[in-house]
Amino acid sequence: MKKLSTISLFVFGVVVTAILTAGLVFYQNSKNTSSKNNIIVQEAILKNGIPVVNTQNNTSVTMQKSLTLNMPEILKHNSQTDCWMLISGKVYDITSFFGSHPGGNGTMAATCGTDATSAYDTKDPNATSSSNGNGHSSRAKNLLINYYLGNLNQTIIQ
Amino acid sequence: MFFIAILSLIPVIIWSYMEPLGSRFSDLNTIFTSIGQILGLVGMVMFSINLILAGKFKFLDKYFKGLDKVYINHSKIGAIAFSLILFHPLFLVVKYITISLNDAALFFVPFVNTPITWGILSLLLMIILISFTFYIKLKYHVWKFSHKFMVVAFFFAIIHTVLIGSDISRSILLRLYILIFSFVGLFISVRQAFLNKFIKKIKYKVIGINYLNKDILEIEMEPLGEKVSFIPGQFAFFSFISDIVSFESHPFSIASSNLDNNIKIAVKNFGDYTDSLKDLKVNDLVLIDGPYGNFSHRSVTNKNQIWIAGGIGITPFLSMSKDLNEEYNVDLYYSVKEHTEAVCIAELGEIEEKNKNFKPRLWDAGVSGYITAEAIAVLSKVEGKDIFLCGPKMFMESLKDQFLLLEVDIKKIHYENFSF
Repeated sequence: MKKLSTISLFVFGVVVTAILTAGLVFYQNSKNTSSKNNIIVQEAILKNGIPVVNTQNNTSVTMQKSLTLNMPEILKHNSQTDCWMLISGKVYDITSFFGSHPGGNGTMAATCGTDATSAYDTKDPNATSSSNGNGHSSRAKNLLINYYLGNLNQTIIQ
Repeated sequence: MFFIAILSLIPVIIWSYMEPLGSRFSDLNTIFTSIGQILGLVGMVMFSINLILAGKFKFLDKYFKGLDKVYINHSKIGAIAFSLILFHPLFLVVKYITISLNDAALFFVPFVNTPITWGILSLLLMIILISFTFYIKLKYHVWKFSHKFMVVAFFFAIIHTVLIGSDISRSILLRLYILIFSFVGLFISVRQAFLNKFIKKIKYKVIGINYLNKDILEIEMEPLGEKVSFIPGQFAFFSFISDIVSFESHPFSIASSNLDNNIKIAVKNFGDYTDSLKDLKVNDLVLIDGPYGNFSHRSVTNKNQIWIAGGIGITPFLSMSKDLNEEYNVDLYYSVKEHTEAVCIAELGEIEEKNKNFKPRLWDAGVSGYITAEAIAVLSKVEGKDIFLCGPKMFMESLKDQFLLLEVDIKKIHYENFSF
């Protein structure tokens, strides 16, 4: 049994050290090269308290393109590998959340590229009204903000 | 062990019915996450069960046929639970790696996310305490004290379980199952580790302290009310309330007859604690927790037996020999390093006079060398007999192996390890 603990501890030590080292070494790099627009938006939220698009030039972003967050645009992002959804008038890119959803990927995938307000409020992907079912927790709402892109029909810089 | 495996796997069954397994294992990311969740669930239940095993319950003593076997299983299950819990974050971190290595690194950094922080603190404490068990040799009582803090690690793990927003928070059944196990484990372990004083114990007082030789002390105790009702061969945990001797409880075999009003133990000076017992005084209070153990001539139906004692390992046999009736046919080998160690030989001689079917033989290793199974097989017919061993661990292990080589059935060899 000592052997089992030793092997497990060794594997744990190696993996954690590797991830911590790689994660910290690449930290600066990943921060600079991240093209995720939501980071800029989040910074704006943190600074101003309201979701306003940060239009200031960011030296690390070389290509800038404006994009309107309307329904046709949302509809384009309708797969697990590129999943946007509209919840209560706000557009979210939840692609990177796949695999973390406690309710599984299936329930989320069904609402990619749609207005998922009812599904989100009821935890039922087929729901058409928000009146029934149990909504998400406040923790889930806090989590959702990480994936926020902008309000419906808002123009963002990508 | 089978029962424990079933209890540990029940949360996996609940978990698997919570949603179609297809979505649990739809891609590499979800497969890793699912395995990580399973490891956490099973690890937590096994950790709880392990704390219950450490609770020194009499039903466990009976179920496992001896408290030493309970502790052997405690050690095994502990190592398995520890390994599962170590791999739990390693599988869960995979989904973060797919986002970015930085996110993955932050997963292991405390104080970034509250529920995960509790998990990290629990795991860190567990790693330190397991290192004390397996890799860093501490004095027994220091190690025992350190090991109590596993309860704190477990408490952190419960907070992690309660706060984490995953399947446990979504299924009431799963939440109840894990939480009931956790709180039972927590309650029992807090009681065992920190509130030991409140566990019911039987009160005795010291009435005699005699040196049997320069190293062996015989302590006689008288009940102050209720008596300890034991089967000859069993042991109990003794705590002495004295100005000098520490209160910690230690296991000793009961050397006196179960028919006597008083209890006698014989203690060999092995270290700080046993050395301090010489400072006990008459009328000092003794708290006894017991009896425990399955080591007794009465635990088998076969009445033809060979008993082999190594040094102070004679104590349970002293009690057992006083219980023998004419139906039993017992050869006792009393192995000592030198003749001055054979402190009980006169008493054994008296018992032999009353019972002709009981034959004690002194084996002086200083003259004849170590006692061997082969020598015993020549002197007593081994075939068809049950063999009882009591003495230092190496002594018992060596003789057990020798008897196995002589093709003695392992089920006929009985011994208990006192390494707890």
